Amino acid sequence: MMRNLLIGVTLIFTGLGVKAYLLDVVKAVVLGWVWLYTTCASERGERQRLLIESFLHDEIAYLEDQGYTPAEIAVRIIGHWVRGLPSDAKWGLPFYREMFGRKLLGWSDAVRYFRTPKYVIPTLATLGIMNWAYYDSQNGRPLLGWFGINAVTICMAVLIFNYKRPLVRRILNGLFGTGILSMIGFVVWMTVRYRAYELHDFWAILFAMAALSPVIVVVDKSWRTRLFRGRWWLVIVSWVLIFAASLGSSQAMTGGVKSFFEVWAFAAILVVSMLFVVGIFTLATGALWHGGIKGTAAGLRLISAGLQRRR
Amino acid sequence: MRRKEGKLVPLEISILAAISQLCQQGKDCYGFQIAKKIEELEGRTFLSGYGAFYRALERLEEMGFLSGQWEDPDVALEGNRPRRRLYDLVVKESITPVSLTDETKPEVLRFGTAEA
Repeated sequence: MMRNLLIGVTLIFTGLGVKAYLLDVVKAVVLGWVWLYTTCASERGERQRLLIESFLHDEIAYLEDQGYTPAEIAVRIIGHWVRGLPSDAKWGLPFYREMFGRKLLGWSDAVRYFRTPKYVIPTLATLGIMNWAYYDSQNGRPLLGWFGINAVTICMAVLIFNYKRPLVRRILNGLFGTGILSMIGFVVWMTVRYRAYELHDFWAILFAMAALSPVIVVVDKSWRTRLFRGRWWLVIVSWVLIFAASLGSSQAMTGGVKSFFEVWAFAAILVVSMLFVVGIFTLATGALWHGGIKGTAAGLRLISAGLQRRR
Repeated sequence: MRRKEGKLVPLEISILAAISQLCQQGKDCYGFQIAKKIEELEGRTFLSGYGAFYRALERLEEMGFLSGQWEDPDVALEGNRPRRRLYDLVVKESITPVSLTDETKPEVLRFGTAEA
């Protein structure tokens, strides 16, 4: 029956006017299939590829010598190929399973030690909540105004969470330096433009802003080293001086300490509330993400172990 | 076909028989030559897939029935073709390895060296 079938298919191919190049196509298909099912089997796969290529070459050469037409040879090769498909697939599948298991294990490790998303995702989540809050407050107006802020925040988050990389540290230092200089320039411009120096609270806020610089100095090691050369007590001295100057200016301008306390209380409430709101969301999303990462990594490892055990 | 421990499947038996005959005729035993011999011995078209055929040869090598070695690259280069793997029976006089069971032995002997 098989023989009759082969003859029938050959006649159809010949009748369709099959050209010689079909043989090359058929050979490429067979070798492509061989590559597909052996590609995960490393040395054994390579050996099978070489052997089958050699077999095909010998078979075609022999059949051509025997006077077979390309169509007849193609049909014969296709016959061999089709008959072997289930067996080939059955043989190749465990290698694929093992390879996939190994890949999953690699992904699991990659997920576990993937630092950037671990920090950036909570930032994005927090940013998302802030966006939503803003959108809600604007009665559904477009968020285009916040696009720049979002983009800058994301970029800064990525940079800050990768601050251990030398290049990122250089960029951050540059940005911090530029930011501080811009802020000083902006404040000077504002002061002149709106004659802010006439306001008592302006000076108090200015001192409050200046008070933030030690925070930057404490957080950022390179600035700390650059300014204080590792002498921590100078940071405390800076704070004491800032408080003293703020208190002194309040006393000199208003004749009392009310302005001083107002500004510092305002700054403290602002910082604490910001930290509270942002911190809560960041912690919550961080915890979720952390759990998600651990869970995903563990899940991938389990699937990988299962796949490799079945081999 | 599900394999029983220590037993040969029909394709492996056919391969052993073909190689046995080819060896006696002093011909090179490589993939296509063996397949052609099987067709000749069994009087029908060779019915195995390419992969299955070479995996059977590999198993026979692992079981110690056959030894195989790659052809000299220069010879293949001269013939302008890919390298062949040449096979040889490990025990030529009588194919009676320990792993060959009584069930498979007569088949091999019928096609193989005992008949010759």
